[in-house]
Amino acid sequence: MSAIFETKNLSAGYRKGKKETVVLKGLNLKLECGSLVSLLGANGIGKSTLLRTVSGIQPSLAGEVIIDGKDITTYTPKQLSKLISIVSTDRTQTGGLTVYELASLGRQPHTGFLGRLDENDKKVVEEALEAVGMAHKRNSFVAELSDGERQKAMIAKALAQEAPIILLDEPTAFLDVSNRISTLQLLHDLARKEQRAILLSSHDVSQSLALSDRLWLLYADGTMADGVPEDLIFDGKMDKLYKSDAIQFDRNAGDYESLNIGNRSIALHCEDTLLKMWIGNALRRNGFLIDNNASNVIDAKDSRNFTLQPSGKTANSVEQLIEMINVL
Amino acid sequence: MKRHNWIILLLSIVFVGLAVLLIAIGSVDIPFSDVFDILLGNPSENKAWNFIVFESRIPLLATTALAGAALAVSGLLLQTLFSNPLADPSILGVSTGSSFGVAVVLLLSGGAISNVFGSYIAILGGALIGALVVMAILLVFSASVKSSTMLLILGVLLSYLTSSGISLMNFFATQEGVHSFVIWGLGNFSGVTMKQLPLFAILVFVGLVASIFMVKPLNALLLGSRYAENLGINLRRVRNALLLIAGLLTAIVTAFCGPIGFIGLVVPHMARLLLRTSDHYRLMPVTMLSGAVVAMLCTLISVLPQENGLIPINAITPIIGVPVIIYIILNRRKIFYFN
Repeated sequence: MSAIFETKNLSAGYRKGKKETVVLKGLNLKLECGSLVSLLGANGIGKSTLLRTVSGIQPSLAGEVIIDGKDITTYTPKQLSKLISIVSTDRTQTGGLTVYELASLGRQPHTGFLGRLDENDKKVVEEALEAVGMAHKRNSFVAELSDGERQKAMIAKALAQEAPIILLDEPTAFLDVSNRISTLQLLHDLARKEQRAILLSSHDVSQSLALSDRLWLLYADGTMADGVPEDLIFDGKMDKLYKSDAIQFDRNAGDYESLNIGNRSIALHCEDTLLKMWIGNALRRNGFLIDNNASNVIDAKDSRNFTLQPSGKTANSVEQLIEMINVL
Repeated sequence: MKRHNWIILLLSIVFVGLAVLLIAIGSVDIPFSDVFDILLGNPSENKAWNFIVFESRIPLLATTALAGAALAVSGLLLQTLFSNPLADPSILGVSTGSSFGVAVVLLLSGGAISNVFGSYIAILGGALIGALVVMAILLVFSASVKSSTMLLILGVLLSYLTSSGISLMNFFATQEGVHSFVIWGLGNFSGVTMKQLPLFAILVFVGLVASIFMVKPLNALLLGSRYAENLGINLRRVRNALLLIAGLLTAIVTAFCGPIGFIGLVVPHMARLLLRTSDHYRLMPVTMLSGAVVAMLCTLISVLPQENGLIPINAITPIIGVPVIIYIILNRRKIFYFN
């Protein structure tokens, strides 16, 4: 696969007069058609700055952004609009447009001065609506859509633009978990089926790990790690993504968890890994540290059968178990 | 037939009806049959009637329709540009800016200027410069003030400041100057004579045609500036063009007819509610037509007292405008294009 998009030694940030604020530096990145890349990092780390810089809205401080073999600054805005389409979290005034009209705004780079659609434009819009599963809503007002549907309509707009690169700024930010997963799954499938290069920023670590072809991890020191999610996990690259002592990356769960250090210790005997994981969760929440040399031992046979040693008391739910250990 | 076509047909019928009434009714009572005879090229024996129809009623009708369309389109452009449903030339201070320009011409010349034809060029120039200065100030503010509500408030403040400038000039001006300025300020579509009509019509026409060319970027602006840029829109150029067109339309009307409120604010909303869309391709012609119709309705009301003279237009526009705005504010949640 060839890279549609590349950065060479890119520095991004803000320039005010002669003063430069470098947010990100020395970035060498590649984005390929047919793949979905998620950009992860703490708030204020520069995810939006990077997206703005690579979309050409914000000039870079140093280095190059190369799109389809040419430097981004050599393109006119019109040419660029056929190469990159964006989906942002900006508020729009599109409530009074239908889903079809919203998606057809994506044709603007291709239409004449009044923005009228020809047969080909109509076909592309129709296909875009079909691809995001919004064809049945084509005549609904954007105002009538749920947040998830609205996001899909915006993605249809981006698809209709027929740009090989799609950049999305936190596309799942306001969505519930089912819409988060379906939106990300949709983007994943679109990348493959339509051979687009899709880059999105997100705070949704577990879904990004599940559905991204690559992750770009932005660290607080302005550096970046780039790789396939699993490699990054095994290399420990996820561990220092957030500069906080209160959380840690749990490789089993594939997400961050609170690093709640307990001050009471207890031993846990358990064969089943799932049971062990969730009992561990309950223990940590209640301030216990799992230590197999501790004098008190929980013997867990299944989720309805717990015995506390040495007292020999039994519990038939986690709720009862917690009550029991809390009075130890 | 599509909703869009129905609405245009309906508005056209109302337009023709109002046009007939405006030709037939006026401060001088001329029988309908004589009016139509005069229009059909059979001059009446009453020379004054011929004069009234051609030199007063036709220019009044044409001025009203053109000014209404111009103000309505100006409001539409500003509402989309500022992403604010309450933006309009009078609220943003553009009309007041025009008034200031006119005040400079009328008051500082001591009122002597108002009778010469060339003076209209001076008044027009004053109004245009005034409107564009206010627009430019708003544009500078809009670079740093991102909230469109705050920008609107800045417009209102600017409008107060400009008004105070006008008051100061009034204070120091001659009595004739003040008199002609006050009369002008009441708003009046009957001030354009047959001789001035071509200039007025051409200028308004240029503004209206230019705004049709802005339909595509206006639709892109519905998505906000970032999306619009990503669609290949040159944001700076489009913003400047929109401000220039809206300023031009407002300034022309203000120079010839005085500062007319509410039409620019209300008519775009009426057009959106009638059409049930924010798509400017359909909104633009309906806004023009509705603007003309609303202005003609106001003029019709203003000539109704007949021999007692004209009611100032600015006494009538709020009566039509305010209820519509209150309706829109109260039904904000239910009106589709707000969500």
